[in-house]
Amino acid sequence: MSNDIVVSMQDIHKKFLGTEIETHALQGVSLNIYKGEFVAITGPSGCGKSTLLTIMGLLDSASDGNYFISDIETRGLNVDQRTQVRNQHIGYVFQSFNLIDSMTVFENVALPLEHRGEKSQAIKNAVIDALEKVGMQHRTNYKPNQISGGQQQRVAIARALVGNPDLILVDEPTGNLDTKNGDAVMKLLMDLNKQGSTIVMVTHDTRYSALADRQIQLLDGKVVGEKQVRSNDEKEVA
Amino acid sequence: MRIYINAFKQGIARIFTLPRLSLPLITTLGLTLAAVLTVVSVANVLLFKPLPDINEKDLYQVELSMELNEGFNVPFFSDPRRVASLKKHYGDELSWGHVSASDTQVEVGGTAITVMQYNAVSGSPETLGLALLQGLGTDAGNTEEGVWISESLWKSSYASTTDLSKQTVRLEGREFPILGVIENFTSISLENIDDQLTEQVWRFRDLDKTLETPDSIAMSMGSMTFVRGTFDAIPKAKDLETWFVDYVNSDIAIDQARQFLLSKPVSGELTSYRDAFIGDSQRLVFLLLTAMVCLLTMACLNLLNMFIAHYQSRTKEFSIQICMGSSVAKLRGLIFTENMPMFLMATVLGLITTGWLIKILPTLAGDNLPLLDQISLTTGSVSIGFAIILFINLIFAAIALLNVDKKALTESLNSSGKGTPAQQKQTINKLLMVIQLTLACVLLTSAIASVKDSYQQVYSDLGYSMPNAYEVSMQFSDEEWAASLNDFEQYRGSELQQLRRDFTQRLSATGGEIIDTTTLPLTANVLMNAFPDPDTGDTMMVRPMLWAPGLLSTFEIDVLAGRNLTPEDVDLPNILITKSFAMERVGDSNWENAVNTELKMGQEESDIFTIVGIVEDINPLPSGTIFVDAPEIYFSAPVAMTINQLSAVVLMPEGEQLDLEKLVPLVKGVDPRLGELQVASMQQRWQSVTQATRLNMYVVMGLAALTLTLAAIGVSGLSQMTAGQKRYELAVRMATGAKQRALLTLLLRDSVWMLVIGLGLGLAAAVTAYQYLLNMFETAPAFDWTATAGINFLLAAVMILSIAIPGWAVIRKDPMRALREL
Repeated sequence: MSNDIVVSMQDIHKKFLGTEIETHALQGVSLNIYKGEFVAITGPSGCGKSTLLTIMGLLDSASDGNYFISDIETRGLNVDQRTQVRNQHIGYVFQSFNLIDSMTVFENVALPLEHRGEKSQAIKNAVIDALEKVGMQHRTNYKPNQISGGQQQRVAIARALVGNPDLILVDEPTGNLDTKNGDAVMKLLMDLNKQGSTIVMVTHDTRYSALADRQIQLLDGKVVGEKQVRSNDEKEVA
Repeated sequence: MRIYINAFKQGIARIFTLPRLSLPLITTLGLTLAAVLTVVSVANVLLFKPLPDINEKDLYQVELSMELNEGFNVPFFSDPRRVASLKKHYGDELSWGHVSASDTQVEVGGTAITVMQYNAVSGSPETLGLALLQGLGTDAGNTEEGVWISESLWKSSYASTTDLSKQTVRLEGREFPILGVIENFTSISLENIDDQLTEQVWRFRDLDKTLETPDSIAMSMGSMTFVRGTFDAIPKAKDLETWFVDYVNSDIAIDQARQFLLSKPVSGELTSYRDAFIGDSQRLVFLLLTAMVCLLTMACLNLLNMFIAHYQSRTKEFSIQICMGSSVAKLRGLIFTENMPMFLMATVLGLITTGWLIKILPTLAGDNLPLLDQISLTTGSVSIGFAIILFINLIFAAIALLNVDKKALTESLNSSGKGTPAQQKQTINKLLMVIQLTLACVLLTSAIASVKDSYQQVYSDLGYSMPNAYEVSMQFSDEEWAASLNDFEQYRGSELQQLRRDFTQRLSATGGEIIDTTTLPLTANVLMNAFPDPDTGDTMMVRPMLWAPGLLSTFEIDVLAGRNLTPEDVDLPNILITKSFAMERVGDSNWENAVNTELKMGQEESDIFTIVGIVEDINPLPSGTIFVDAPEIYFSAPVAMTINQLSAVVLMPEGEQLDLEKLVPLVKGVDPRLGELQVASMQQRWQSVTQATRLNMYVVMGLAALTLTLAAIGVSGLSQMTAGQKRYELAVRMATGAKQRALLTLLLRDSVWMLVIGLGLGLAAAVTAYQYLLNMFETAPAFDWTATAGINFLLAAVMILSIAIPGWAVIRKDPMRALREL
């Protein structure tokens, strides 16, 4: 596998077993994500976007197929091993932010590094750096309920990037935000991508998916289309 | 590490920010832990701690009990001569001892002191392993010339002097030289000792010399025989029973007495001294420990349910932590750390309460537990307390995340907050609740049986009323004088009659009405008479009472058949018997026919009495001096009774008390051979006799109330959780026209299976557990189906209310409001 490939998925299937019916959410998805790419996964509701993202983020495992992240084979990993890989290699941004209410902004952002067992000073430096990148350095001691939705999303992004992951997964980042805040978050993601972060974003908003380098279209659990908007080289020139 | 420190800090904050969680945990866990630790402290002392004064190794208590009447056993070794015979039989390999004890007054330098008098055979302290601190050993010979005193008395009254040669103590009207000082002896348990005094006086008899006099042919309570030696060398139960037959045949000269003794069942018993001393307490401790552990388990199940509800509300937070790189084990560690401050607070509260409970233990336990002064909160108990708490915390942390798995992760993290989350499964909660209900059922069944039994014992119909009456008495301190008083009582104008007349005349100056009888119906001075029935040969045990004019009417003891005695009966052998005695004699259906029949209490002419009337029985109260249900016989004169004290009953007007200060000088000059004046009111006596039973009843009632409350809190918490999770469904149903009653039925139906299974299992477990209890304690009340059904009905009713009330709180809200709140 090329060193430039961050994510490699081959023939990924995901089945959900209900009490009466079986749902085949992903039906043989294969794709690669390259280092420094900004990929948007699009498609109508129920097409399997979020399922694909949770498998990519190792929050769930595929029913079948192979998935490599940063050359690590993920099939057969147990919950704790998946957690460790996620902690080391993935940053995750949720639509509903998922910040812990009882913790401050600083503590929320510090979480991945705390779990890695980093030293206090290193955590402090990294958190401040991440918060500066998202413009939230002035709100370190605030609790999530004391800041706006847009600010919460920026903190969630800071938490995703604080560990310097190989891949940042973003699930409907603007879904819970108004246009102004949505635009600001998108600008932030693009800036991060320009600084070298690999980003995979799930969205159904065509306005924002158009800003990605590549769009992958899903329908009924299958990749039905792929559109290269610009290459990394073009991005560098721009 | 920092993440754990932060979790600990958050835990401290949660004590104050989450009082709905922290307060129940700290109080419930703290208080139940205190109950467990108190019982653990008691168990530690009773089961493991060496007795403080004696050497228990190879020390055994031996006894040969003779059953004189059903349930009434007397110790055959009460006469030390029999112990001497046993010693002779088994040779010098074993060392023997025999002790009887009673409270008495001594004078030291003109000051009267109440002490414990031990009458023992020489060598007893040495056999027990008591240390001799000063003076001669008790096996040195000529021991009868002086006395030995205890360390406490030596310190308090003789200033620990080492020169005992000129020291004396005045006892029983004589001055005795003090021959030695012995370590305080408190590891002794006898029926007649209420308070264990450490000021003690020992008198000794030479054991071997007792064989020089004939057997006393008497048996009395309040003595103990012990032996030290290897187990193989010590006589066993069967050996004792064989020895008894040989002894009676060879050493009891009077044919009638010999036949009488041989006709009675005897049972030998060899028990280690510690087991004999601790007695039933060991089983009581196990029982209490089981009850307390059940209670702690119930409390934990409740709290666990509450915590699970709390953790469920934090599922998203846990999921985020896992998403950010925490392993489930690490998360459990964080929860454990976060809960630690609350659990530590509960431990501190538990330890403080334990200290307090141990302090009030003497009041709570009364005379029911030995070695009370040895019980303390030890490092071991504190360590056990911390270990229990850490263990519970560990369990809580483990169970908290049982539902947090990958599914929970994706479900909770990917929910956008739109709509309503699906209702979480409550299998664990409901399972815990079923266990809790089962435990509650077992505890309540046992508790209600105990409470009902105590209540019936204390508040049953005693067969008499309780007027404002006082028993005033003075003991005959000189045994020879007492014997001569009784011997000459049959003669008109005897010394005893004169004394009684003088006594009652003096008492009349108190302003009360005097009843010239020996005792109150409720007395501490219980006299028992045994006589062989000439017709059947059976031994009859009766309680002789001295009749006096006004006695029956004052205490409202009904004459059920025949007539009452009158002053004209005083010179006649006429008696009254009780209904139970009449039924025993002539049958249950025609007991009235016992009137005008004769009662032969011996072979002599003077032993034949005529029954002129039948009266109501006097029912014995629990924990009395001797708990024997023997029928009363009312004699018109004290001829057939053995009077051991000068006594009378003073009936004071309602609301007035007998003035003791006025009474003491009044009776002072009756006779110098009379002991201290004793005054006991009927009410006081009732209070003291029933105190332990009432206390037991209140403690068990408290335990039952706590059990019921814990069960109610648990079920209501679960119901609240269920109703809370079903709010959306309930609100939608309400909004679409469902009636409130239908919604309540929906909630009840969801929980009723839990109630049925819990109570069903509980009932089965209760019946089984109670059978074990009956095997362990012969005195435990019989299983009561009515009471069990009643308490289970109450439990079911409380549970239904606990389900319905929180559910109703949700249902009664405006449906639109409920929908808006979601």
